[in-house]
Amino acid sequence: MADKQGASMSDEERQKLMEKLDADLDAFISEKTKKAKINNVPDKEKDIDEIVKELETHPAFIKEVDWSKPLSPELEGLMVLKYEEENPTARAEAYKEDGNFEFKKKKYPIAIDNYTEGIKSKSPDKELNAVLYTNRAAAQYHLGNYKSSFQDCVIARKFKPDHLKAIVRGAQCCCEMRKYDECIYWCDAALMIDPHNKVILELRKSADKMKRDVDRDKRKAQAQERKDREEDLKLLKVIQSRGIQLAGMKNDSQGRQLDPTLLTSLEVHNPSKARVHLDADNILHWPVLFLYPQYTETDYIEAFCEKHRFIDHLQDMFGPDVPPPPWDKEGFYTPDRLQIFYEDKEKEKLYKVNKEWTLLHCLQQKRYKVFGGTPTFLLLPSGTTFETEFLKRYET
Amino acid sequence: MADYDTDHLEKELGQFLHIGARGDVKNLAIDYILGITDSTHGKQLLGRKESLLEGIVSLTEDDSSDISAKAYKALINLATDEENCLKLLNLSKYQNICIKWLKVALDCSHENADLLCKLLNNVTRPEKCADQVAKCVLDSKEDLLISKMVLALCNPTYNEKADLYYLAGVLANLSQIRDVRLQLMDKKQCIIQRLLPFVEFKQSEICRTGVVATLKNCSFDTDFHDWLLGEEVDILPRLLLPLAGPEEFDEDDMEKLPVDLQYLPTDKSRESVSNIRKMLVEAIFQLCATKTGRSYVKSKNTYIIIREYHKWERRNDPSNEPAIMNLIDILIGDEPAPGMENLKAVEIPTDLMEKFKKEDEDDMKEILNEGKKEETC
Repeated sequence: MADKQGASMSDEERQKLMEKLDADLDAFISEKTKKAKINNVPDKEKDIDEIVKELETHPAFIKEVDWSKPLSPELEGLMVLKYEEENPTARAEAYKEDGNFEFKKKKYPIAIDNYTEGIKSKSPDKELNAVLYTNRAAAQYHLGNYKSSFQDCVIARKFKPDHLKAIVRGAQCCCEMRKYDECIYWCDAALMIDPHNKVILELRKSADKMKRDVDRDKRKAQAQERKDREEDLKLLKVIQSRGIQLAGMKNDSQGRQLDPTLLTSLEVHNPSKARVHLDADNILHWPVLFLYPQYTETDYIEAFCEKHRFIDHLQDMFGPDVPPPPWDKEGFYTPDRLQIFYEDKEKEKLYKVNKEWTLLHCLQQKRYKVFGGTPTFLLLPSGTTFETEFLKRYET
Repeated sequence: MADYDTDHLEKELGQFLHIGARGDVKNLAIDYILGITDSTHGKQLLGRKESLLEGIVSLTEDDSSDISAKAYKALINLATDEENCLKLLNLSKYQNICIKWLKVALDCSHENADLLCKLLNNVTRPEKCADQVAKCVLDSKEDLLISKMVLALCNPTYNEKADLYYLAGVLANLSQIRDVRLQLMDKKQCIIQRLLPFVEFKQSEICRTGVVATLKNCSFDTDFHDWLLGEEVDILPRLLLPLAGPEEFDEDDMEKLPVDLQYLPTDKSRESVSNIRKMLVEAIFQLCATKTGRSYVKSKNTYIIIREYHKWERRNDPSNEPAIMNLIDILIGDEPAPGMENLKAVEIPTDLMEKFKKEDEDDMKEILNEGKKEETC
């Protein structure tokens, strides 16, 4: 395309274009010089403070470089010169010195950048690389970056396997990361080189102690788990021996199918996290839920003794001595009028509970199944339209 | 085995037991020697001829690894005889040979390192020899040899071609010598501490035996007891753990135990080797010699571990009974009268000593009879 156009352009046209380009360039240059003049003018108006400030940032007078701000052009130029060294070892060495300078001032992130640049120089000097990695590891360590620090220690040792500082730092990192076995391993490596190193001897001792403490805590937790499980199994056996059915559990006389998790899915209904428990007299106490479908209200009995009768609880909750619940506007909820039912969820059928029954007697009913470890009952006031309608739903 | 005429043997074989001899003849000669070392009689015969012993030693440096390995094996066999050990250590052609052997054993790339460990283990078994080797080691300019042995033993990757388990036996033998123990228990280094985890080293019974024997030997130095029991070494739980079983204790008893013994799993098993168990008991017993040591051992609820172990040991090896009873007596007994707190410093009248010895022997007989009765049941 370009060739075609060039070919089609006449000499006259070309001449015109050249003239235009010349003119544009002249205009640009004159504009530039004007601007430069304008810029130069305010020099005279600068006060002494400003000049001093400017001088302070000049590389010849600079006392300290603020790396958080962009560098002055002069300084940047010098920096480039400094690191433009052809020899990678000299370059790495220069970065190392800078890194050490920043490290001493505890400016660890800047020190890390310097060491990184030094590493990037790819010097063939193994010792120097080991030092660069070890120093970067030290800076990372002081920032709490133990994992990065540890990795640098590992690399430093690849360059120089017996670099003591790298091994010591690596051991310290392991300890901070709570890898006590590894810590002891690194300590032993350090002691091969310096058997009397007090830092390492002390570190090894405390790592050994902490490891043993951690191991004990683990064993303790496991022992507790074991104990809990044994108690759960015992409880489930008692429940089974009573002839009570738990939903999801096969009625296996061998007790092999016992799964303690059957009892643990209670959190939803159970703010107190109460669970069925066995008292010293071998009596079960169940958390029990009463549902009042008419008002979608519930009552929760944390420990319903299996030997107590339903009527006892109804008396306590709805008896003449107790103020009626606020939602019972019509006063239908009395021990006499309340009817208790339980639901067979598979067949979707309701079965009536005799109020004189004990909880145990009810739970032993063939069709009764405990769901979520919490026996649940529906309570309806008799002789109300709600009762008739509610019961109708189960008839179909 | 036929009678050997040693002079004849020396005359016929001596010339071939030499590194400069022809390969095939050397091989035949060392094969023959190796065969002889298999019998007690043969060992004794060979031991009489220093030139033959020197010949065998010279072949350990043969270029053929086959021949050198056979030469080492012959030496290992020879060193099961106490007389031979002394002779091997004092061959006139090979001064301080034990240092050379030790160096090969500790050479981290030597393929015969395990054979050398076995040889050193045998050679250092008689106390006289242990004494001599220990002196050589302690006098040698490479003064780190003892700690280097510990390092090599404790580092599973020290020599890829060898396990060095027998080094534990060498350490145990050498630790009969007080100066060796002083090096093992250098308070400014971490040496004996490294051996501690190997009390539970399931892979090797030899290693476990050697390490526990070493620790037991160290437990005889009363002046180190406070250090051994203190946090620098914390030796008690290491000695107790192999004796602990899966028994559960109530919370109170549990919390008084050293942390390493708390909440042990239900499948925790005891040390399977009876002799190791006995040495552990004896080491703990030694640590009870002084008043501070005793009260520390008692305060760590050592008794309940030993009580359960005792019940168990009765069903396993009744011959450990006296050692256990000695310890239990101290653990539950009253403190001795003032002035007699250091049990080792108490002078026992000879007549009483005799009486105790006899009682111990009678007890032992009774126990063994009981044991037998149980077996026939």
